[in-house]
Amino acid sequence: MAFETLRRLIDSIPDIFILVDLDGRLLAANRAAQRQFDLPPALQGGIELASLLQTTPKELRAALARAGRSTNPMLVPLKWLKQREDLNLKTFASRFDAAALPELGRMVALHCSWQKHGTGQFSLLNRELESNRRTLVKLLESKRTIEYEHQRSLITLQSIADAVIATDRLGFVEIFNDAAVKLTQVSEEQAKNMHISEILEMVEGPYETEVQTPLEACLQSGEPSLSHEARARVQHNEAEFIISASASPIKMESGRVVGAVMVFRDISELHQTQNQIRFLAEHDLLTGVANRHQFNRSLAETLDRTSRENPCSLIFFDMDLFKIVNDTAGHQAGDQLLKDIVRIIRSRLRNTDLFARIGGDEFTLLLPGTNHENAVNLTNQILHLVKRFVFRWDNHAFDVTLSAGLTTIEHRGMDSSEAIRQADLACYVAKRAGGNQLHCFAPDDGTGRSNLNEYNLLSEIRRALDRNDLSLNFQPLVDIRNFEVAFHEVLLRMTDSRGLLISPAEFIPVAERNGLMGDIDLWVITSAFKTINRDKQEGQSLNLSINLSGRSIGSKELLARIRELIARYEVPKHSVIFEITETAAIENIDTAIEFVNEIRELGCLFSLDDFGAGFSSFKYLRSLPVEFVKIDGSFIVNILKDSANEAMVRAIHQIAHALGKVTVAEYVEDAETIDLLREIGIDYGQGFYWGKPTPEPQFESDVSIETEAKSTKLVAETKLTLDRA
Amino acid sequence: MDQDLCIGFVMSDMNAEQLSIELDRDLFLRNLLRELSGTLEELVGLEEASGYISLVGQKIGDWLNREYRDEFNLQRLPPDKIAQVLVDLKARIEGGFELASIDDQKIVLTNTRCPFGDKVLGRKSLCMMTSTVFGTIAAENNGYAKVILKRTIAAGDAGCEVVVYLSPPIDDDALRGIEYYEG
Repeated sequence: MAFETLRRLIDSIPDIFILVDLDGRLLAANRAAQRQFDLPPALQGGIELASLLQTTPKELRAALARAGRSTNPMLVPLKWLKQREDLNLKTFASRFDAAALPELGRMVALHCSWQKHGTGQFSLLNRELESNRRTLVKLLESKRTIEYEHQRSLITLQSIADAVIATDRLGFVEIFNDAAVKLTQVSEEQAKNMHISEILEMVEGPYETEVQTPLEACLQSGEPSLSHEARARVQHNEAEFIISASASPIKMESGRVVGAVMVFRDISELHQTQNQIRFLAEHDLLTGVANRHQFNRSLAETLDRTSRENPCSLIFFDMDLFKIVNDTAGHQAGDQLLKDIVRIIRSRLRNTDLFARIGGDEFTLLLPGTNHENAVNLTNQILHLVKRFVFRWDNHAFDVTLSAGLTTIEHRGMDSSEAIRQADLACYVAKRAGGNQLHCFAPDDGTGRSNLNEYNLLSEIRRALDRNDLSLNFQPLVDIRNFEVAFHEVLLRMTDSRGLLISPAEFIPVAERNGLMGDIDLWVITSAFKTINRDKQEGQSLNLSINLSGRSIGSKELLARIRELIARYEVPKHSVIFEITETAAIENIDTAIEFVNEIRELGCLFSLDDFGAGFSSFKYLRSLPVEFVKIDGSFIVNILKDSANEAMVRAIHQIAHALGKVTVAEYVEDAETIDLLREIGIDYGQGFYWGKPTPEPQFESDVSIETEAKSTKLVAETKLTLDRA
Repeated sequence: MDQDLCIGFVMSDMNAEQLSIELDRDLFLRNLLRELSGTLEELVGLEEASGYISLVGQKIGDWLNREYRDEFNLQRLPPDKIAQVLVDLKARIEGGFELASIDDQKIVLTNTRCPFGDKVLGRKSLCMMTSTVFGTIAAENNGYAKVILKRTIAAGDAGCEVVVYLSPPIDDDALRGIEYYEG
């Protein structure tokens, strides 16, 4: 034990101790010797001391023999191989007997120490001083680097726009940068004595539940707290804002958390902007209710959760006669009416109901968790409330009603478009039945042929308007005296989703019944004006005659649009004739006269279409400010065989001329008819004789004037009339 | 004329050999030894200086041992002869060593006059010369010796007491002294 203690003691000193036998074989060496001479820890007598020395074996033997004779350490002049030039190893040797290990025999202990005297000591001191000096220089450099880094960090910290708070491990503030001061209105001096929770608190969720700041969470867990958005409240002034914050722990190398840093910024404005953008994307801007996109999404989610126990009801509302308000009182009135209707309907709704505007005057209402009976009750209440409401605008009063279609879904997974189709179809049935009523979807709603045909046709018209699947054809209107093409009547063509042509005779009545004629008229006018503009750019003067539906007559909105379009497409004066039917014009003669006059002021002409087919009141003809009278085609087709028709045509022509109007005969199909019309004095003709409707305007009629006589007198009269107009 | 100058004048007229200067070879060598050992002790310390002197002492011991053996015509000197040699060699160099006691175990010697005279005072390293010479002679003849310098004039004692063990002691002296072995 004592031997072990001694060995450990010898191992711990910097001097070299080596134990050899008298023949110079190494028996033991302390750690310093092992390091100095690269000796293995266990020697086992295999290494000769001579191998470590420059001293000759003879000199070594003599030295060992001398040293082996006394326990008093004796200087032995050994020259070591790894001896450094500037530091001599001085070796003392003495006899060493291990009483506990007599078998080892006589041994010599070598004790080598670094030279301690004279220049050696001075050299050691120098070496130590140099080492200290280098350490000191490094320390100074490190200190300077740390100071520089510290300054740089501080400046960076104060310069950045984000607020930064650093605390100790208990959450007491140590660093509080300028941005944090600005945001919280707490000075750096004040903050430095405070706990983070005394400066800021954070709340989340609808009930503003208080939550840990990311910094506190980070101190608790020792892990970084990543980007986190929450409402923050400054304790001392109760200012609130939305912040985006993240925090990281400050750890020692051992992993011990000694503090944390929280970086945060005020994102209130961004949050508000995002909310606004989200609101705009999901809501109808006019009324503030959900838009089609939001409704479809919510409907799909609701249908996914629907079951017999948890049914949902969907109601499709369409305003009856909305166009009348819009057209007669203007779109501002129409907008106000929509807002009023939304206000009325919303007053009856729960928070969980979703009300949306999905088209001009179309609304949908989703009632989650509502069975058929309750939905019917609610819808009838709404219809009743709306019926009682009177919309007033500029001294006008309008009675407003709604048509409603209801479908109740009691199974999961119905496609949202199918649900909307059912409610829409039911609404359509309600509308066809006279409006102001609710119709509940029944599976056979779609099997009634007329309902289905008209519903399908209506869908096709809407689709064609949405996708621009409408087109124009042009049929020439020819001066009977010289066969020159004076105008082209534009005729609307529509193809269905399969690409098949649908006759105007089919789709126009459906569009009229369902309030789509305004949209169709606007589409036709826009396309016609574009064509005029296009031909004008190509140096071709194109005059077009455009049919206006009865619904459009008197529409202030349309008037405004026509004014805008004439300016946009630089439509020349007198290059456009608007055709209105006799029937539509006299339905509200005062409105029609006012409307016609306003459009004529824009440089357009008017033609009374199909004259003779309706009331044929010459009184109205006198009061209507139109330039052209288009005699109904039914009189022309049989004019050669039916003397009554001929008489009618003659009478109309004479009266019209007497009133200063130009006459036009349509459905002209043969030369004999032309001869008669010319004899009567009709000014213009239109019909297959000169040309069928074509996709592009034809500026030469199919028949040359060479075969016909010319009536220069009538041409002059017509021009005179047009100039007056 | 100043009297001192007058005397100086008189002395300066004398030859150097006529001067009463206390200098002979012995004194010179003793002074030399004292200065050498003093310088050594100052430079390297007592311990290390003793190491140097031991080396010298061993060589002196070997030389003297050969001389006495030859004169006695003995291969090995018995303890009593060893005791005589130790006292005699000191006497020859003007030391005042006496035999205090002798048995199989040890030889005890006392001394009242150091061969280095008053030059030994404060020069304990010189005592290592005595220890080594005594130990070397005793060990070469006895196979083993242990020398303990119990009192020394160099250390300020009135006299020296030197014990030369001929076999390892088992009492308090077991942990003291320097051991010597036959070379």
